[in-house]
This record gives sequence, C-alpha cells and structure tokens, in this order.
Amino acid sequence: MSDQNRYSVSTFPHIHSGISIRRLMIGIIIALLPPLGFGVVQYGLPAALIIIVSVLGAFFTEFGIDLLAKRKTVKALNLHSVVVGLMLAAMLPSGCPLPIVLLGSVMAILIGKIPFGSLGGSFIAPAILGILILFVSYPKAVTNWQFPNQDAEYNETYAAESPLQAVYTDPSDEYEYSPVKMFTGQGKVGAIGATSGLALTIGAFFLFFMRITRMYATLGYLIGLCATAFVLGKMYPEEPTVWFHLVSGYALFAAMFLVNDIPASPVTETGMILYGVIAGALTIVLRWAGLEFASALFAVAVTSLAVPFLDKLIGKPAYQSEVTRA
Amino acid sequence: MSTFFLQRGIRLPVKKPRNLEIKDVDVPEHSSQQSVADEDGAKQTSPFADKYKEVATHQYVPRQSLAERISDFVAEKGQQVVIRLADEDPHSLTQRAITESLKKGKDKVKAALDQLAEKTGVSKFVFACHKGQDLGELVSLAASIIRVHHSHYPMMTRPCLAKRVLGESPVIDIHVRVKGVLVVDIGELMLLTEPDISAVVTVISQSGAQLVRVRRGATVYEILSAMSLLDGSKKVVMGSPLLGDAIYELHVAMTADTLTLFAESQDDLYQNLPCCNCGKCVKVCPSRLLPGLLSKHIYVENFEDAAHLNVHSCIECGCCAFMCPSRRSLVQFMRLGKQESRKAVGSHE
Repeated sequence: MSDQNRYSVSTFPHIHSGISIRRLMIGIIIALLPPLGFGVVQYGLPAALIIIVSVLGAFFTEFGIDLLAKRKTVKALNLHSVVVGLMLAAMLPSGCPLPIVLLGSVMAILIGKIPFGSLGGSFIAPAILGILILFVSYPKAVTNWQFPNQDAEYNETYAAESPLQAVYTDPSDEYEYSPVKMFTGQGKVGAIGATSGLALTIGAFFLFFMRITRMYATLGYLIGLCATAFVLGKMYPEEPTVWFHLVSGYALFAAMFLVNDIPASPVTETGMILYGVIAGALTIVLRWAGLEFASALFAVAVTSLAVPFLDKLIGKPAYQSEVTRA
Repeated sequence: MSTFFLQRGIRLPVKKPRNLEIKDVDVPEHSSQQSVADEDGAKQTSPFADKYKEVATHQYVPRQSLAERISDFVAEKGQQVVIRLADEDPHSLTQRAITESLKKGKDKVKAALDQLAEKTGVSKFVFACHKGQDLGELVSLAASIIRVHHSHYPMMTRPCLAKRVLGESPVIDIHVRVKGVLVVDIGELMLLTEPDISAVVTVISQSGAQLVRVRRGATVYEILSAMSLLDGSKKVVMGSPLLGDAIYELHVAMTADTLTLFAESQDDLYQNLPCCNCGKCVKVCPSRLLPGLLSKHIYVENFEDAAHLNVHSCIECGCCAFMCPSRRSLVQFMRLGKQESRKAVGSHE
C-alpha cells in the first residue's frame, strides 16, 4: 500500500471550534488590562514595576518547571501563569516591596498550581493562594497602601489608610467617601487593580461578551453580598451601608474576576450561582467579624473548597438510558 | 423559553443553504480490486489505542437500515413517527435538496407515507425541518411541523427530535438508538415506493459543499475518482464532519449521505491535554452531563463513578469535543466509559 493511500482516523467530530486554552487566557489578560491600566495611571511607576515582576516571576517559575520536567510541549506557553501574575499584581498595594511580590507570584505557581497537576487541578485560584501566603507572612507589606500619585517607597509608618480600614476604625468616616468616586476609583486608596470598580466592570463585561466566562457567579456574588450587607445593616445600624460594602476592598474584584477563575470555579449554572452567593455572604460575615483586609479573598478561597460538591448539583440528565434503568 | 434552557447545543457558523442544485456524476465501475484493508495504515491518535483495541479501532457504529428500525418499532399509544426533511448535521445538504426536488410531488410522498403507515401502524406524521424552509405542497401532509434553526446543532439528531415530540426524556440504548420514536429521513422514505439506482450525496471538500447524484452502491474511491477529487486529501470521512466515521481505505461502499474530505491529516485535532475545568462542555451538553469530569473518571479507569454520573445518558453528539479548549477526545471517552461500565454492571449480576 502506497503512502498516498494512508488516511488518518479519529473519533467524530472532525472539526473544532478553534477555541484553545491560550485564547481563553489572552481574553482574560485583555479583560485585566483596564483595571491594571487604571492602577498604573493612578499609582505610577511602582505599580508598573509590581505588575512586571509578578508576571515574570509566575511565568518563569512555570517555564522552569517545564524545563525540569523535560516536557515536550512547553505548558507555560498557554499563558495561564501570566494571568496568575496579573491577578496577583492587581490585588497588591503599590507600596509592596518587589522581593515580596516575587515571592508571592513564585509561591502562587509553585504551591497553588504545580502540585495539583498544573492548570485545571487547583482547588483554590493560584493567585488567591499567593496573596494569602503573603498576607499571613508579611501582613504589613501587603497592606502598605499608598496615596495616588505619590512617590511610593516601602515605608511602614507612612502607609495610608484604606477606606475599609478607616470606616471600621471610625464608622462616622463613611460620610467622607462619595459612592461615585469610590466606584470610579478617583483618589481612592486601594490595590493596583482593584481600585476602580468601573474599570473592573468594563473588563468583566468583555469576558462575558466574548463568552470566555459566564456571569452566573458574578451575579450570585453581587446578590449574596448585597443581601447579607442589607440584613446586617438592619441588625446593626453602625455597620457600613450596602453600597460601601460593594465598592470597597476587593469586593468588586472578587465579583468580576476571582469567582470566575477558570480552574477553581464550578461549571454548572446552579453551582456557579450558589458559589457566588456563598462567597458574597461570607465576605460580609468576615468583614463584620473583624477581618477588614482580605475578607473577600478568604471568602472566595474557603468557598472554592466546596466546588466539587456544588458541581454535583446538576439534576437528572435529559435522556434516560436502558442500561441504568435496567 | 423552556426549550431554550433545557435543550442546549451549539450554533455553527453555517450559512443558510441557497444553491440546492444536484449535479449528475457518472460513476464508472472500478474493475480492479487492487486494495485490501490494511489496519496498520490507520494512524491511531487515541490514548487507549493499545489497551482497549475494541473501542479504539471501532469504526462503524451499527447503523440500522429503515427496515430494521421499523421492525424494532412497536406502535403503541403515544408513539410517533417523525419524517426528517433536513439534515441532522448543518454542514450537509442532502435531505434538504431531496425535499426541494419533491416540493411539487405531493402524490409521490403521499404514496410513500401510506406505505410507511401500513408498516408501522401510525397514520399521523410529524415533519421536522429548518426554520424558513419552504415545504411547498408537503405542508398539507404533516400532522404537525417541528422547525429548528438551520445552524443549531444537535437539534435534528434522533434523540433530540424524540425528546421534542415526546415532551419527556426518551430512553436510549448503548448505541444511542431511541425507543418509542421512529425518525425517517425523507431520502429513506422515498425508497419505500420508488427503488432508485441513484443516490444523492453531499461532498464537502476544501472548495465547499456540492450536491451530486451518483450510482447507488458505488465505492468512495469510484465517486472520488469520477469527481477527480482523489488527490490532496489526507482524511476521508464517511458522513458529515460532526457525525461521520473516518475511513482508512476508500474501497468501501458509500452508505452515508455525505462524504467529507480534509486536506490535512488533523493529527493535532485531539491533543488530550488535562481538563482545564472551564465548563464549556457543560454549557453545551444537550443531555445535561458533566463531560469534563466524566472524562477524568474514565481516564483513570474509574468506570463505576462514570456510571453514577450517568455516562449512559450521553447521546454522542460531539458538542463537548467541538468546544473543548483542551482538545480532549470526549466522545471517545464517553464511548469507552459506556462500554466498560456496562461490562462492570454485567459482571456484578
């Protein structure tokens, strides 16, 4: 038989939509550009340096693992590590020293991703794991907020106060912050990528529009957060209002990006909504319990442990089988 | 609205078929029997090629003829017969073209339907066609008409049509044959009264889809050489791009209504990267399963959990594999899971 008559065989379907992991990741990177760009404009060079160090740290950690494992296909080229680096940088304050940023991004990949079989196996989003490691180890560096347009140096004593910290120290401070300015992020003290709710919403809507992720988890998170904040506000009048909970801290970043993280979020509609609602409610409960800084991060991290159970809430299949009925 | 949420699937970038002219192709008989099936000639891209030979080299799904399906079909109360006037795969044009040619031949179709009614005992027929498809005189023959958007897949496949006419979940067997509903293509139907020595085939190649009328029973080799399409294809599929079987030699009789040619051998079509848990497969699955999770279970040969997660309810439409960004051969995983978990169930009894 000549070579010409050899035909390759495979299972159907013989065509593919053309979607690939790299394409999904490039979509998420584009969606992260508006919030990060806003952070760079607001906080200047230190913010840009943090983003670069974080991305390079994550990418080259994964690249090094690929080299060590002698893989034929370099898995780092699917760009998931770049997404992890960008997400981690988005959650850091612009006053965070660069060695600590590097440690965080290396840890995110090395502990949050590689031991669980690379992309897809992580039970917590690697970026959240990275920043939680930093938060536990170097709490002052990770909460070293800086005022916008200020020459930031690592200076523990001159760290600015984030709105959330300010309001929890003195509830009357809340009247100093206007809802619109808090949402757009002008003059607000916060993390590089989580300052502007407007930029985050633009990025997230890009994700939904391009069908990279679905919006069920985001809707669930917003509903859970608002409902719990409303109930708590009724019970304890000195608590911040619903809008303040919504636009402060990491709440919007968690709603738009963290609950939609590809490896560690549920895949069914019911699961996604429940995941969002639980994470949103837990965020407010943790804030009320006294954890101002990382409440949204801890809430999402704890909820993602329940993902295997949430995914099983799928209902009956649409077709019955002779085999299982018999 | 409820059907929108319950019946999922994919929207394909397929344009509405406009030109449905059938070209006659004279297929001369190819005398020399030069080639014998050579299984080593087929490249295996399956991760299970060594271990599960039975599944990995399993090429032809048992396709029943209309006579066999009619003999299996027992007309009871509530059971229905669906006449399909459009193709199950939106890429294919054959059934639509046959319908187009029969638009003014109401009597011919009526005679065939009477024959079918006599054989099955069902006298009212449901027609299934595309939205906006002009049925001409045939409209008056239908008891009711199901209309499906022309780019929406897999709404025209047998299980999906059965679900639509029954209004409840139909029962399928291991080869995705539906109980209680008989789906008949218009091409098959017309053969009941008018034995035809020619067959209409859609040939999909690099230059697009073209409709040809060829001698029934001609081999793929004969058809392709008559159309001078023999060179330049590395993969030949008997059937449509979404549902056909890849064949490794051309000297087999043409049994499907579509022939698909690919210029590339498509070695990277399925790379079987680890599942990235994105949920695209869950979003499109018309049977509401978790194809990604199922494939993980089946990959580690955990067939019991696969059976608990209802692998047997898979209708093998291929939507999940079409969408998978990790390029997992999900249909093959499902078939393996069905076969092996049925063995496990059988050994317990």
